[in-house]
Amino acid sequence: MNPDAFSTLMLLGTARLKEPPAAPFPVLEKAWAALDWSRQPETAALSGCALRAAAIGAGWIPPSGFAEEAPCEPETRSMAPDAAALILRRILEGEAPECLEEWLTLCLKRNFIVHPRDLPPLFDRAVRSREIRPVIATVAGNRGAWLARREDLEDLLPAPLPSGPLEAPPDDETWENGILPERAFWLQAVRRTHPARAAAALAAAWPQESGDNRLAFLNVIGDSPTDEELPLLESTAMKDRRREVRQQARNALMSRPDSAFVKRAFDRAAVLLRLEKQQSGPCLVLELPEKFDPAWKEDGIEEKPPAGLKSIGAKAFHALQLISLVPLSLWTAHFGVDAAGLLKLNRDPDTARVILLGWLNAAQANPEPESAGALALHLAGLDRWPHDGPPPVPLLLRLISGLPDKAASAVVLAAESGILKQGAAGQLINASRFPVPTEDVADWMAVILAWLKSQPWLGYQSASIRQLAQRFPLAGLPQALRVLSHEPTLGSLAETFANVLEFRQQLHASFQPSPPRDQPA
Amino acid sequence: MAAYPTPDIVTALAPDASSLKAGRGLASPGKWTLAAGNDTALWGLMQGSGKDPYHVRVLADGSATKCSCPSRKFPCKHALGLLLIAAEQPAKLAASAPPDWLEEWLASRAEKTVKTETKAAKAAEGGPKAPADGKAQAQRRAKRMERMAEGMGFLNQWLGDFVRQGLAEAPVTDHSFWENTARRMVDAQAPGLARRLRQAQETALSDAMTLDDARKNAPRLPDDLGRLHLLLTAGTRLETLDPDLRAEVEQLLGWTVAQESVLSGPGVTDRWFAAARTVQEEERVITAVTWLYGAESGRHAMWIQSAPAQQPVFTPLPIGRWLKGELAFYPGVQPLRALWKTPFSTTQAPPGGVPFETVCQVLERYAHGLEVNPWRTVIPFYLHARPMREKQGKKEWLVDGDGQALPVVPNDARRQLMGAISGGRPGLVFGLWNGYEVTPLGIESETGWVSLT
Repeated sequence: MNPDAFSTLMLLGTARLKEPPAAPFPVLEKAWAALDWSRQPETAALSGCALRAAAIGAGWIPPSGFAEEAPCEPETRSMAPDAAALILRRILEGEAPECLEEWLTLCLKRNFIVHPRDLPPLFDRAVRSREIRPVIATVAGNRGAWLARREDLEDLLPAPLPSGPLEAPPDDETWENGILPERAFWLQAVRRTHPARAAAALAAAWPQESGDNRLAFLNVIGDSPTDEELPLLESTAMKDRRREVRQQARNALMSRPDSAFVKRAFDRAAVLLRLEKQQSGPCLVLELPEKFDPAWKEDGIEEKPPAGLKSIGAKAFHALQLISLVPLSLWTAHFGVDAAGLLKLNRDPDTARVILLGWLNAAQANPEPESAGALALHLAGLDRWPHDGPPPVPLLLRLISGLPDKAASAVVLAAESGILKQGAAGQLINASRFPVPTEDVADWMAVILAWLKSQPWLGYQSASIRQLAQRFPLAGLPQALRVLSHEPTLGSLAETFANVLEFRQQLHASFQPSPPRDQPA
Repeated sequence: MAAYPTPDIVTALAPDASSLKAGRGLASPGKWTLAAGNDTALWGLMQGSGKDPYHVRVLADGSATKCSCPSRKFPCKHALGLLLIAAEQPAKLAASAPPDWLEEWLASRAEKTVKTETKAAKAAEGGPKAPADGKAQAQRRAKRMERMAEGMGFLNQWLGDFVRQGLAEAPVTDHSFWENTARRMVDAQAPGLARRLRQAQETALSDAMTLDDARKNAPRLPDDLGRLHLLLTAGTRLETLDPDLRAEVEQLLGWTVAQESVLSGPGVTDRWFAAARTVQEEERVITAVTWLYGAESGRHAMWIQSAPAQQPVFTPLPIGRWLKGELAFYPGVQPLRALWKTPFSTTQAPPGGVPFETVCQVLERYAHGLEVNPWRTVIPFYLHARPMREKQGKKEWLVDGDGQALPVVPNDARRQLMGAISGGRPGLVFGLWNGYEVTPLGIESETGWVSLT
């Protein structure tokens, strides 16, 4: 469509006027004829604009004959209570964004759907956060599905929950031609259902894969290699040209005491570490190897200590590496004690640090549930962290990663009031992710308050303090808030912490049916 | 049980986000020494930084509050906190006997209402008050008229140059192009013309940014310029205009009408539905417009409140509720702007609620409005309609029961919200029609009225 003559004139200006433009609408012809284009073209043009504006406004003809758009199907579930909807609105407006998942989970658990007016901002969140999409798809109800179709957002909302784990493995085409994350996902899924097929596919593809891909696939295997994967790990991955791949393969193998690799490692270390009866009781004595055996190299043992490691000599370094490859469970079985007992045994003072560092390395590579808790508690109670040992917070995190919440909580509390108190207070609390056990709430509050008081300047940790408040159990919220209310003053971090706890309490209460109100006087 | 405001209404009452947040912090009964309520009012005691606790009093419908705290925000965080408790946890309010300080406040409010009504009645009987010094006022007015005439002359010349040069050549998307002239209009004491120029700038910008082919070929800026030209023409012939039109044009140019003068005029007592409130900031002034509809009079009204941006102080008005009160309309042609002549209070909805029009009726009313007032480019309306999304182009329409439709302004957030609430079913929608598009401002949902602003 081209602009009419009058619109063209307005664009080009009356300075270029050659002849008066025709009226843009027939209805204006009479009034148009009265405009004086020859003597006052600007006034005529502006008057023409006013006439045209009036004609457009007054002559608007509404279109009709629109096709019927199918309305939304009626809902089969009830909407979340008004109070809960209000809480959701506050979350979506940014008051407590970290509580969104908790709200959605509760809504899903109670079989409610969200109010229609909250769908648009919820969809906005779904755009930004893939993890919450399945839950949103479910709590959005029929209205949400209808709106997603209308707004072309269907891809945003996957099939509603419960979807359960994948029963059928993904198409092999994905493994053959997919991009790395898709292939890693394929491997993960197929390992669960068809481990032999997964191992065979990985072994077949291994020679053609890049170092990055090999590492990514070994990360999928993690610390739970299947029987079928052991040959690939032992014979191929351990000899890979890339150091990180070899390291990852070694870590994976350490989780399998029945592997040839671990058996070999134990045989080598067991001749060095023995339990001697001494006057003060049984004592672990480490005999340092006389010389480096070139055969050790195949299992990743280095001959020369790294430049930075000056506190350990070459022989001790060899012994350290040999012990580092042996899971603690083999030592406990070998010496007939449990993990706590093993750690309590006297160690020869000359080599005590080497033994402990070896155990730490072994536990870091492969934290075994039966020994990780005891080792973590032992470390948490140390007066000093072992020199040249791995950094305490990441190691303790690794050790508690597979523990039950209660045991992990005990380690965190012991470490925060022990080894981490000076210099690293609050770091393990912040970095850990498990829910705080209800029975430990008082102890956690004591540790957190002490930490907040000692480091009130750490304003940048507001996000982590909000996350921390998320980990408190519902049953423990009143107790935590009571502790805070007894504090004469609260710093800004503690205030934030209290606000999130209080908000969560309101969130859960909002899903309860409201009690009848007392009649006012 | 008292009809306490809903949480949405309390949210709308908050003067700003920080007050609301602070109010939320106090919306826990445990934080109050006393938090009580009955069918008439809410009251509470909140310990502040001083020795004595703050005495907080709120009318049960939230329409008036008083607190002894020093806050200059209104309602203060304490009143908001108390209202939120009433809205969210009414069972937690104590049912104690109202204290003396509450009774005193209620009594003084009642007394004030009587006084206002008496004053208004007297003023209505006696007509507008004579100016204190008629001669001086006339001199000031004459001087201002002179300055405005100069300003209008300049603007006329500027428009002429603009049109001679052509829209394609002029830097219409350049802020200074419009703003320099707008400032000259402010200097010439014609702020209404400055406002029109700034609106024209917005139109020019949206013309430039539009993706709509039809609008690209027929930009809307000439329409604004034409209406501005028409206003300048009318401004130079004020004496020839009939009183209503003259009052309309004077206000459009920037003359203000004293509130006393408006309040001394006749009022319209009705049950008013508060459909929406829009808030806009311009030149460091925040303007809140509340749209009202009178059930018996059938009149639309807009209640405008302005305040400095740093300290927005607005009288709260619950959106989605019916209010009983008397409005006095500003002079003009089919005026919309009005003031509360008497304090309003919430009331029951009339049977049948808000009547709605068809698309044809809205357009007809719009056309008739232009006939008597060509500058009235926006009219409020209620339609019983369903939002409809075009498959091609994704344009949104409001389709009434007759199958006729009005296009909706392309604003994704509002359109999506309207769609979500309607679920594709017809319902009552409140909006503004500007001759091109509808701006939806409110919609009825299954759970009540929802403001789209």
